[in-house]
Amino acid sequence: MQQDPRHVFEKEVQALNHAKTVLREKNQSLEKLAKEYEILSKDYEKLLGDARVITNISDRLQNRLNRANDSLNRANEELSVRADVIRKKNEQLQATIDELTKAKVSKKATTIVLIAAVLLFLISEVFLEPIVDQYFHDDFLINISIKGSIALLLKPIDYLVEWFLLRDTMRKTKKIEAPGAGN
Amino acid sequence: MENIFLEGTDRTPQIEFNANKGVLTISGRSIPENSISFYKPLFDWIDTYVETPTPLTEVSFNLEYFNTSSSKCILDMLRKLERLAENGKEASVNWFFDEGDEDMEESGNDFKSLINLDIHLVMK
Repeated sequence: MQQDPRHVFEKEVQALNHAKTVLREKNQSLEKLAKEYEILSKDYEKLLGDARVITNISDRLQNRLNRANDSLNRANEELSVRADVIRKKNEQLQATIDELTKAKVSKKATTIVLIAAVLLFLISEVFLEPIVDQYFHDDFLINISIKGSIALLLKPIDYLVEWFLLRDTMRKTKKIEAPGAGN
Repeated sequence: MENIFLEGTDRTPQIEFNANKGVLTISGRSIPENSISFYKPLFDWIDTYVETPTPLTEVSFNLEYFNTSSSKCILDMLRKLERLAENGKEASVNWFFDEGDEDMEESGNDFKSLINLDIHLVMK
C-alpha cells in the first residue's frame, strides 16, 4: 500500500505494511511469527479503540450538525413568515400612501377648478353676457344654456386637472425611488 | 527546546506548549482542512518533549468544536503523552466542556476510556 506521510493514519499504514512484509518472508521461525502476531494484535486493538472513539465522535458531530441544520431551517421559516408579514404591511402602507396622494391631488385639483369656475363666471358675466344681450336680446334660455354648459365643463376640467397632477406626482415619486435610473 | 505558541483561528485552535513549565494547552476550534499538517509539528514537539519532560506535565483541552480527523490527532497526541508515565513522570489532562455541552463531555469520556492517562472532565 502506498504510504501518504500526510495522512492521519500514517502509523497504522506503516503497521499494515510491516505485517505484509513479514507475511511475504519465507522460512521464518514460529517464535518470530508469534512475536509479530502479538505486535499486530496490539496495533489492531489500538486501531479498534480509535475506530470506536472516532465513530462515536463522528456520530455526535453529525447529530450536532443536524441540530444546527434544524435550527437554521426553523429560523428560516420564521424569517419567511416575518417577511410575508412585512410584505403585507408594505402593501398596506403603499395603498395608504397612494390614497393620501390621491386625496392631496384631489384637494389641489378642486382648488384649481374652483379658481377656474370663478374665472369662467367672471368671463361669462363680463364678456359673454353682453354678446348674448346683443345677438339674442337677453334670451333667458340661451343665457341659461351657455352658463349651464360652462358649469357642466367644470367636471371634465376637474377630472383632467386631477389626472395631470396625479401623473406629475407619480413621475416625481419614481424619480425619488430610482435616482440613478435615468443615467 | 523551543516553546510553541500558535494564535487560534476560525479553523485551528490556539496552541500553547511550554516545555519549561510542562504546560500544554489546546483551545478553540479544531476544524483544519488538513489536520495532519497542522498537528504534525505538535506531534514532533511532543516526541522531543517526552524525552526530557518536567516532573509534572499539565495538559488542557479547552475545545469548542473539533472535526473527525482532529479527534484522531487528539488520540495520537494523548497516546504520545502516555509515554510520560512509562518514563516515570506524571501527567494530568484536563478536558474542559461547557455546561450543557453533552457532546464535548461524552467525547472527553471516550478519550478517558481509551487512554491510559489521568484525564479529568472539567465543566467550565
